[in-house]
Amino acid sequence: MSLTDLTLMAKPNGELYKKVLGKLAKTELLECFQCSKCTGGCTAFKLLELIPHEIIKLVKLGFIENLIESGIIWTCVSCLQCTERCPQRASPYHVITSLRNIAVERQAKVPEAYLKAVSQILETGLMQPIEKVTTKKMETVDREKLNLPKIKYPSEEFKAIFLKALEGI
Amino acid sequence: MNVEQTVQLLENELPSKRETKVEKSVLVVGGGITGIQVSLDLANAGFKVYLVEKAPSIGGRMAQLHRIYPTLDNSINLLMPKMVEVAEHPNINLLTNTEILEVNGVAGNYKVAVIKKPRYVDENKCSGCGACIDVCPIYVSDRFNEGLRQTRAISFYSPYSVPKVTTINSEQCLRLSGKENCDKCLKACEANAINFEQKQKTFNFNVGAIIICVGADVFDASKMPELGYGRFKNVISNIEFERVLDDYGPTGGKILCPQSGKTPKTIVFISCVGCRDKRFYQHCCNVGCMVNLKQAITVREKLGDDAEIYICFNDMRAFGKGYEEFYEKARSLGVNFLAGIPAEVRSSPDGTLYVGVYEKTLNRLLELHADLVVLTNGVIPREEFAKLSELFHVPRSTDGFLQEAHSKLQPFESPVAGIFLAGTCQGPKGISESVAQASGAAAKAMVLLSKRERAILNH
Repeated sequence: MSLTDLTLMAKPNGELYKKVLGKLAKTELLECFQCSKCTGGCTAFKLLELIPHEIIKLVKLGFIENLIESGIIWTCVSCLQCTERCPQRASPYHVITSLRNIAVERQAKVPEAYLKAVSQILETGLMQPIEKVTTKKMETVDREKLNLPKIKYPSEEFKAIFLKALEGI
Repeated sequence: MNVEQTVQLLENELPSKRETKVEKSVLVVGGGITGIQVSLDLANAGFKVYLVEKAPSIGGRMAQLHRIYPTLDNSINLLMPKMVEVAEHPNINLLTNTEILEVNGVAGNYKVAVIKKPRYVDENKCSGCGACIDVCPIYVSDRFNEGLRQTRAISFYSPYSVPKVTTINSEQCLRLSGKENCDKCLKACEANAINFEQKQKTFNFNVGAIIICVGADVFDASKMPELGYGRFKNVISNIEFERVLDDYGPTGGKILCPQSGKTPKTIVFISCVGCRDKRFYQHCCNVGCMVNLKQAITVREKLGDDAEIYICFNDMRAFGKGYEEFYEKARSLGVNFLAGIPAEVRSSPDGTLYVGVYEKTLNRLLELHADLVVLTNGVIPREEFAKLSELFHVPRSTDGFLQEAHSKLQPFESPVAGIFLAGTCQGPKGISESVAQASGAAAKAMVLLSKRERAILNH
């Protein structure tokens, strides 16, 4: 590879690039011309400084190593606005997802919230924990008080399938 | 005094009217693709055309190109039939190796004097066999191949010469420069075409209109020392690269590093050299971005997927029909685009080039180790424009190109009646725009030529 990033002293990784390509359904998802429209509307950028167009550019040039190790790819909130709005039908969301997959494969550090979400699904079958709600009268209520039906917890069968799927990643 | 008398008086006061007969012939200056298109359009409409070309062959810049964007057709395959048609057209008088000496007169009746330089080979006798070339002992730099190859002192201008007649370089030829009494070509020529006594000839003719389509020049990048052109062998210009890509070019169509002679693995294109640069020329060269894309796609086709191709650009301007799709094609072929112009090119003794570029979208400084750097030199006005401007009384615009009468409403005409402009001498443009302007200028000329008489005011 003849390219060097002098700012971070990084070299591009061709194998990782091929790996990302393998995880994407089409190469079109990487065909970005850097209009930065995705970043302009990115939910995660406003709070967490995720720059989708930069991620695509870095992937295209092969600077993937640092991306996977950094926590920035985990800040995407999967709102899919970038995919919807991209004038070139590229998709930073799909690229970020494949980077996350590679990160998990390489056992890079995954933020705790994601691990929590997994155990949450195992326990309750839901992405988020069931929370109590505060009403206008400053009363804290739960489902029981509101006469809502009880949530079914996942069956043992589901848990087995889910755990098997996790192993496969 | 009654009304009639007043009118009579005023008519006598007005400058006297005179009419001139409109000649049914036209002078076309320059034999590039624009001049060829103008000549064919006018000749097919029945007008007599004098096509004057300075070089020994017509074809111009387009003949030097490998392929054209965005269709990727072979350039010479498109041009050659037109060149042959010009040479064989009964209404076209093709004057190669010829320059304009003097222009006088008014629209409808210009008196033109041209001077035909000797080529020391009789155009009517030469059969184009090329037997004289192989026997010539003197090697000279090949101008058509941008000096990348050597040719002989007697040679064809290019492999695609029209007319297919050899020319002797009088400065390098042993006999003509008076060094030796060499007669090798004279003996080799079976058609008896070689004539060392040939003298320059002056021709005079009258034409109704003049169309200037002398084309433009390409920036000489050695004026920009930071890019290393002229210092480093592996830094080459885009026209040189076109010749390298051509199957009949100096390397037979193989892409090779000039220093090591090996196939390059990494090629870097640098945009906007000499243009969009207030130190040299402020205008945009109009074709550079697309030339970059075309050459990058050709490199991908010739060297396969292993070659690393980088285009360092400032803005990517893909504005024409099919151009954006062409840009998309380059991206899908894995050409890397770096937003940012390299500040300088450095070289190691083994010929590896170090190109530092600050990527605008990443906000990072990147360094490339390139085997070959191709500079996209801009289209610039010719030096001869000063002389031409004086000769035809056609003004120049601030960017140095020839000035049209009105940039929006009269793009084909010069401010001088009966003199029309077409092609890159009016401003930088690609082949399609040049051909469009050629046909436009030919149509405008026909408006003038189809009149029997043209009124001129005699003050």
